[in-house]
Amino acid sequence: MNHIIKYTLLNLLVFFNSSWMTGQTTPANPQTDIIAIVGGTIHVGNGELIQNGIIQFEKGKITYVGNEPQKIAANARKINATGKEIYPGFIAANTNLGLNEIEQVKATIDESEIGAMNANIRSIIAYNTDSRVQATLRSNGVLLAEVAPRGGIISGQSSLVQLDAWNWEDASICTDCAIHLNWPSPYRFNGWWAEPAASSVNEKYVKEIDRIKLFFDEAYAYSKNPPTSEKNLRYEAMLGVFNGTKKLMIHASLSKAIIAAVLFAKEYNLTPVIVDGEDSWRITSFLKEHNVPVLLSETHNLPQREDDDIDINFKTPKLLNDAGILFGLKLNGFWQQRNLAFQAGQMVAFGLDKEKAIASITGNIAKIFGQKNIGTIEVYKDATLFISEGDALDMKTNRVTSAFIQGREIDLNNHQKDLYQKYMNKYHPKN
Amino acid sequence: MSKYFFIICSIFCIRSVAQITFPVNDIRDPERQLILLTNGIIHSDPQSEEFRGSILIKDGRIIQVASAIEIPKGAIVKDLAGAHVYPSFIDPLAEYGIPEPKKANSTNPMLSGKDGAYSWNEALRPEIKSSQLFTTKSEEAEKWREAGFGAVNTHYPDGISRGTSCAVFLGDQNEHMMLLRDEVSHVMSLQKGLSSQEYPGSLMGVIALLRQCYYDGMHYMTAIQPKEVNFSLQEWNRIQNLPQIFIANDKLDILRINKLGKEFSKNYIIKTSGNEYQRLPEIKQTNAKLIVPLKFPTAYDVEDPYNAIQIDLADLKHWEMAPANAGLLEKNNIPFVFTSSGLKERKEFLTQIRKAIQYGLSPNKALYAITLGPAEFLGLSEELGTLKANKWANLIITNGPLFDDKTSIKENWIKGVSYSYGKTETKAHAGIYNLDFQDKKYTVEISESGETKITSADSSKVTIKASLGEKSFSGKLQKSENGVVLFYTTKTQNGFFGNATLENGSWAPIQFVKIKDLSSTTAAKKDSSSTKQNEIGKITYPFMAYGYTEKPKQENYLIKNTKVWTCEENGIQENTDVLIRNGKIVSIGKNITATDAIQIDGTNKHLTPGIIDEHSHIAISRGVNECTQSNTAEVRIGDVVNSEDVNIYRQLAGGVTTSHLLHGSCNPIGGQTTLIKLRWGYAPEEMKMTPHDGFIKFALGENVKRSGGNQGNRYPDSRMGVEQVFLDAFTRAKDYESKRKLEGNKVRKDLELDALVEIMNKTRFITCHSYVQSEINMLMHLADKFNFKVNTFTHILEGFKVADKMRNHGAGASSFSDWWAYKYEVYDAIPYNGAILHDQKIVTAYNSDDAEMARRLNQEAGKAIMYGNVPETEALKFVTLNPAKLLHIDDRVGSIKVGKDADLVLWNDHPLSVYASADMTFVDGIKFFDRKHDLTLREEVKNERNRIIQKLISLKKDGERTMPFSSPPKRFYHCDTEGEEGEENHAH
Repeated sequence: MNHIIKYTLLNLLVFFNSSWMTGQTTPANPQTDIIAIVGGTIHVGNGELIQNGIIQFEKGKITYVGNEPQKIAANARKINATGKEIYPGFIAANTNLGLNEIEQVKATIDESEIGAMNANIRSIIAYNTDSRVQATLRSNGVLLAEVAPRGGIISGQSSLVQLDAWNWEDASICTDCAIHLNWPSPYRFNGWWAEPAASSVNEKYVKEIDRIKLFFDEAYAYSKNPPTSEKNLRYEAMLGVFNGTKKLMIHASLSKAIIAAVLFAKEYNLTPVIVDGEDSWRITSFLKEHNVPVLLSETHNLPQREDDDIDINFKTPKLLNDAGILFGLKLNGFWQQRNLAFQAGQMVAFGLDKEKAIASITGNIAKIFGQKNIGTIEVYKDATLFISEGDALDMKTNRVTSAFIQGREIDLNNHQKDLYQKYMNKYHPKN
Repeated sequence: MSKYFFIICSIFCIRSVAQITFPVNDIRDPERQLILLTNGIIHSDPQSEEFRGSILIKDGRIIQVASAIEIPKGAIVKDLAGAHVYPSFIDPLAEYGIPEPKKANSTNPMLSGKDGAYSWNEALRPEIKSSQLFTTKSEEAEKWREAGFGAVNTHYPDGISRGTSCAVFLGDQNEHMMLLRDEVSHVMSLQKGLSSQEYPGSLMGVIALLRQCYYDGMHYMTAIQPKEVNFSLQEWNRIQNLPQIFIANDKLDILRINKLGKEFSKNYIIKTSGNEYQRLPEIKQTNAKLIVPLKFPTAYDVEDPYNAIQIDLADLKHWEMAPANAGLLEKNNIPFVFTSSGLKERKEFLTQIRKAIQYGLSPNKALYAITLGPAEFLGLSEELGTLKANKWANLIITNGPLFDDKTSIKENWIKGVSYSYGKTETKAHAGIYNLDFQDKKYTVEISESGETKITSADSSKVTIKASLGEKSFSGKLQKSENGVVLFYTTKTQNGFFGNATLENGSWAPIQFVKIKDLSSTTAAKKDSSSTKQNEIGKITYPFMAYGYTEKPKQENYLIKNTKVWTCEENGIQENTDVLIRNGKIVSIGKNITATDAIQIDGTNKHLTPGIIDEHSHIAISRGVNECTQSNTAEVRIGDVVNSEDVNIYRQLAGGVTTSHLLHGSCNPIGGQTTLIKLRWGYAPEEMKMTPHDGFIKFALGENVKRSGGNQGNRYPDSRMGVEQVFLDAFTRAKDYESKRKLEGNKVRKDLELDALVEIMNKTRFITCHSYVQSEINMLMHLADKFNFKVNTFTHILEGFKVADKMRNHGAGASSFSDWWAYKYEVYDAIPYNGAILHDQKIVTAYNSDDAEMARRLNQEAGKAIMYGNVPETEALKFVTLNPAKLLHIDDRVGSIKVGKDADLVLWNDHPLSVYASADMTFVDGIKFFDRKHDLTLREEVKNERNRIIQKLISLKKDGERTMPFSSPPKRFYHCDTEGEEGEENHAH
């Protein structure tokens, strides 16, 4: 290849902002300069708000957050954020992002494994950093994700990743940090949304729980005295659950199931995280008593029952907050995560304080996972944050203008923006 | 159970004659026989006063009924001793004596499994004659008779057209004797049943099939018979003059069936499901006669509060109100009769009727509904139903008034033959008796249930163990350790008299003299007089949570000082008033006053037109897809609108006022759509927006070639085949149209092709599910070829790639704001699609296709600002004026303009913001949603639930049988209706 062609190609790539050919963006290089974002409204992610604030970060870590201009390093690259809003990177919890590229094309799906008790399964090694999807989330402020396997009774282990990486090793910020257990439903649901039929008692419920109990009993016994040979991979994977290095995430929706799941975990001295928890608002005192956090399912969801308050899904976050329950928001799916912020916004429309809503997709999630480096805009934490021209929880005003992951300023382009430009150029030729 | 009664086939039975054509292997009995029943209390018909009299029966028929009849020569006389006599019951729709339907063995689900020159569709079998299938089933008949029935109208219980039913007696004699009339009615249902054929797979498919069948019948001689013989159609036509019985699964089915009937001037007798009280005014309007079941829901076990919340208020209320159904029908003068169909035990029939009487049904009406009523409905009143001369001697004899709890049926006479029932009659013996025996005085008490107690006058020890018969009293007395006295006595005027063997083995007379009566006739009277109307809740419309006790009414409103998003050229008007009167917007401006209007303060609020959802699947009953053929243009969503879907209310709360209800995307040519306004509480027909241009759903791509699994062998399997399906359909439709023009009804009227002809004639319009540019382009070319336009491409996620072509063709777009990656054909979808289409001057809308998203379409419109900077007034039009244009209703709705319908939403914040929610939603000037009133409704839901749950708990304490919530009645489906239950996933 001669030099000129090379140069032209390079130019073309730059012109189309590189993502054009592959649908992928190029991960940003590590932060070299000191960056100071000046003048914006800082949503800390822990419920606090700093007006006209300054954030400074160096080598990927936040070094200063406050109002004092004198703290800005002389050699800092200043970004003027006056009139803009600054948020910690939103965290898409419990997603199959990178495990599923096209929902109905089986070959593109790596999210569940054969078998029921897949504690040993690890989502991180299947996580595809080259998916087209991450770039479409980052441009809406989602910079982190918990990549979780699905299916079975125990789906396997999830990992936390950042969304600007060359490969999964790069991406991971917490590998194999939680085990996912799907609690059986006490009821069977019939029909579908257009025509729900009456629900009925799940007659196998007790048996299904017995099966989980048997597994946990054995895994627990194993953890007390792990063998040096003839290791059991499933029980090995459970060790972290019993020694507190892995979270136990139990997926349960209805009051009865949540209560049973929490009491079950308590038998092994574990405090689980309840995932989904649609009925959690009915049993807040129970959850409070056992100090159980909730990763709540969509606010954009229909009520479980015909008789439920029509806005129950919208206002559950407020009810949990008022009861002092630590909660985060999680959505189903992967491409859908681009609406994470708006589903948090929906909480505000039904009474929750806006900063609390932000915390439910940032700081609270970090807290739930016990992660010290992410989730809020505070000193010593990763500089994983973004700037939006307006309120990022509202689709009317969410305009992400720049974003940083571990201090690296990432490319906010995506293949969809490229296609937009491509066809606008077709319909409005410049010449 | 059977141990409590024994059956005597009385002497009359032996005398009954065999059928006349058969040879006799015995001495022949004379054919004529006369029976005189005397001294009965005769209830000859529901209207007349009862009287004491006699009934003369000859050869199975009543000859005379009178207060006194001279005993004819040779008559057998039976003294009824004051027993009550009623006509035997008639069940107007039974399955008695008919072999159980079986599924045909068929290998091709596209074809009928029935061989021969019959209907193409296996579920249409008007040729079935149940009379030819009928056999006497003694054991089954016995259960019917014991419950009081004398005759039934029985039919072959499977399929959509089930052929003719026959009236049969419930006696034990053979078929020749027991058939009363061989063809009584034509029975139809809305269920495909055991047919091995796939079509119809949905309720709307069933209705479409019937509609086509009516036309085929009408034009059989001109259009079909010259070319083919079709026995099914011949029979269909022949049996049209019989009473037409139609089986409904739900109250709304009654309205659907009636609507279909009106198209062909048919008045059906409709067999209902028992929840008619929930839509009384509409059902009354149908003027249909009803056959009403008496299956009431079992009480729920609600002691586990978490289980209890899984039971919907609608189910709780139905449990409470179901027994009141018949009384409410009577009160509303809706003609009805009862059927025992659906009861677990035939014997429950009478108990359930008594329960209905406790809940407000009059005894006269009840008697009518089980005797004369069914006979009249079925044209059998010359034969059965009352105790009148010349009618068949079908009568029951009871030991008291029929509807008293303690009354039981003692005999059931069928065609002059008596069958006896019931526990031995011993109640009359209840009393206190004196016993003078072996120089000692005793007192014996016999209770109503036959239990005996004995005490001695000198308090010496004595026990009695005895058994009580109708005319006897026998047992043993023990006075000492030395042995027992055994006695056997028979009834006398004042007690029992007989002999006893003493301890020493010798005999002595023994007499029990009654000194006090303990029988319950007086007590029973007291019971019935204290019966009070049972408490039932209020009927709401619809009958479920958030239903209104009174349908909200149109009012005049003046919305003051608000920010008005007109969706017209004048954009947003600040501090403006809007006056609505008689359902229309009459004035927009500043400082409007109106004394006749309710004033609403709109300060700091936003008023927008109601949201219009171009693509919705809410409010549809039993199937949104007729998936079974590639072309189902004949099916109509309008036939199956479901007014009782809570999503209607939830979407009003999201500002939606109009929804376009579409067939699914399962096949290239789906069904005809319907357009409703969200008039929550109103009936299906009242919800429809009329008139409106007809639309039809088309679909392309992965769904129609069935890529998501379920491959099957239905054509087409590729986009290439999809084009050919359309080409073939329109080519045939064109030929059909020209032939029909020339030859009229000599050409078979084909409802499927009619819909396509309407498209070509621009009286029906396409909304086409579409994704990728190649197929979009294809359909526009195909439309050009047949000289019509594709009105709307729905989903149209690659519309941005062919926006210029769409503009040239004149197609509109109804899209998702930001969906992608859920299947391969949307991998190139971008959220800027709407902005590009809008930029290219294409009428662009955002739709939901999803009951959840429809609650926040305003937010979806907001995304048009986010992705592609569509100006906010234009973005709002994506969910208001633009879908109105796509649906050809922009002259009536979609913007705030004087003269348009008052379909308005008052928002508490910027309408395109995530923070906005609707405070009030108006449709035609009726406030269907008010967030404040919603709080009241929630309270009502809570209170009503609590009231019924408390009642259930106290009933359980009182020993009422309850069931876990596990099997509440399914309100929408019937369990054996495959394919109607929505298991066909609707893929986007």
